[in-house]
Amino acid sequence: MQFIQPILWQDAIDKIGQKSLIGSALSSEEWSEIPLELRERAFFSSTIENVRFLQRARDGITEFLSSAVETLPDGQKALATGSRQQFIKQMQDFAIAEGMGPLDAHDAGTIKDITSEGRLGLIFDVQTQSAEDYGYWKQGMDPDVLNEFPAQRFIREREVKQPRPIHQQNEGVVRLKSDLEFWLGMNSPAIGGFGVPWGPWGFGSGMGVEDADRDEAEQLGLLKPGDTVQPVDRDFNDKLQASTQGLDQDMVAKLKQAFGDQVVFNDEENMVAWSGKPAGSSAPPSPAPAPAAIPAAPSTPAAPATLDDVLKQLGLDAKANATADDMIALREQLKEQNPVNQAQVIKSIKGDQPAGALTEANIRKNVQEFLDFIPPAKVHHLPTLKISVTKSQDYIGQYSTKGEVQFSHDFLAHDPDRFRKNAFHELAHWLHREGDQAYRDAIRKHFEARTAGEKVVNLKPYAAKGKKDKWYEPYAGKIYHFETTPEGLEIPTRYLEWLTMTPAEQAILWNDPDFRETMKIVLQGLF
Amino acid sequence: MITTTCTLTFKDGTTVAGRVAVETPFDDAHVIYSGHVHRLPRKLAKTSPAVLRVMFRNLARELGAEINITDEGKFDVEE
Repeated sequence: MQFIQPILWQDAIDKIGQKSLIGSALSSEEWSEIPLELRERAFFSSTIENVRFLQRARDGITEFLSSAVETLPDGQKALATGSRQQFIKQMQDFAIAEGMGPLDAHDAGTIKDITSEGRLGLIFDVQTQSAEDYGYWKQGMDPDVLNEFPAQRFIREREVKQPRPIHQQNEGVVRLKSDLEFWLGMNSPAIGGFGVPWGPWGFGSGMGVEDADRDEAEQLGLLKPGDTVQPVDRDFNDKLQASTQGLDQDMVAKLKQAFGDQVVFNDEENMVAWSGKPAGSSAPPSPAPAPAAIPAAPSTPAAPATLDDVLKQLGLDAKANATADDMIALREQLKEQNPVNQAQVIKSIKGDQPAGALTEANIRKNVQEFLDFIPPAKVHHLPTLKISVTKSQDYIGQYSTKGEVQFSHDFLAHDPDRFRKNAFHELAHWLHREGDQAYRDAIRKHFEARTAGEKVVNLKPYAAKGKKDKWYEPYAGKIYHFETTPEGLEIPTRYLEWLTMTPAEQAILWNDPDFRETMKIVLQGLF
Repeated sequence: MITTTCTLTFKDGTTVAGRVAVETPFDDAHVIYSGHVHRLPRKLAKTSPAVLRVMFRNLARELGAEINITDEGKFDVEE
């Protein structure tokens, strides 16, 4: 039996091409007010009015999915859009040529900037994943496939920072593919989902599905031997209608114009229904709905995680003795789903070495590892990094100001582990000293509270002065000569080194109440 | 270079110690254990002086032992 039939996969490709292009200055929040049934069929991106840009983006993704080829000037054939990176480059060039950019200059390079790699990459990722997931679902609705594999299992494909509780509760659950109530529940807009019975299961959900065969479905009592499961895609389409009540009339007019005869507006009842006709043609009805809207702004995903939420979900909020496995889970949860790429952050690297720990590649690798934990919104407010490798014997690493970091060749060139920990240390300075005032205030207040009444002493075994307290490392209490009010400048540095430690070491520190009290405050910088 | 030695003294007078020597604060090194090592419910084979100190402090609380920590040497360079 052939499970992957080209004609069905073509549906997945077609759904991108059939999306109606809608240029609009609406923000992501405003787009969320548009009926889901229309958003699913629209190719849009928040705050982008340029329809030619949207056309190019839709074409590029369709080309990628269908592996369309173009003839190069030398006569050779090549994929028109052969990779994610190529898509991003093409769209960046196009957007710049069109004079497009962020509405606010402060958003340059951020997810709000359509010329940024992050924004374009997100568009590409969600659209292609949507197509693949729709194609997989569509294949599963083929009667022969459905007979052999009538059910599917809801699985976690990757760990995420804040899993949705309902997803956690249903990990590993097997249900019939026709159980629309269940699958729509897993992708409900109420939990940041897309309202369709296929993936993606919400922004950054990390969830997926895998087929379950008839034997397993029968053992689970989902159906009896000889039962036939009916495909459900047409039923799903038939139910699509939505209210336009509350929509601005200008927007209703724009949607009417953009969707044409794909949708039927009932102005008297403020309702809109899907006609089933493909975009811009009078061809026979297509059953293929488009799955998800383009991600556009960072506010669209599920509610932002807090450290308390993460600890609660992992059961670490009330656990007296955390294990190494707990620390592995926590470290993974602290990672960003779409971290900023180091290339966007590093302005220059000077003095890098041809081999050893201080090669350009290894410097970039360590910066990226640090960035993997930092919310992009925070990173975009930090100065770019100007990194230099020096011959100093006076310091191991050093953070100056405005993103200038020096690493000592003499101390670091031959020890990758030492460099990794020092890189985290110096980049923690960057995050803390150049970051938001609220974080600096929280660290300063913690330093004041913990060291109240203490005298300034020599912090042995360091040649430094400060307040010793119960920091796990005396250097965390250092007070610099230029500080009129102690800021706790070495608290984030020392404590974020924890991210480079082994899980067993992390657990030992985490289980120390004094360490944990400070660490929880330091980790606020990662949210 | 510093050498940090953490020693636990149990109520019966027996002791167990862990020692680690590193060149910089960013280093880990193999821990050398001595004394009644079997009384330690957990050990790290390799770590930093800072983590060794916390581990032994936690163990002291857990096992009802007295703890003594010494540092020899100093770190000369800035970070």
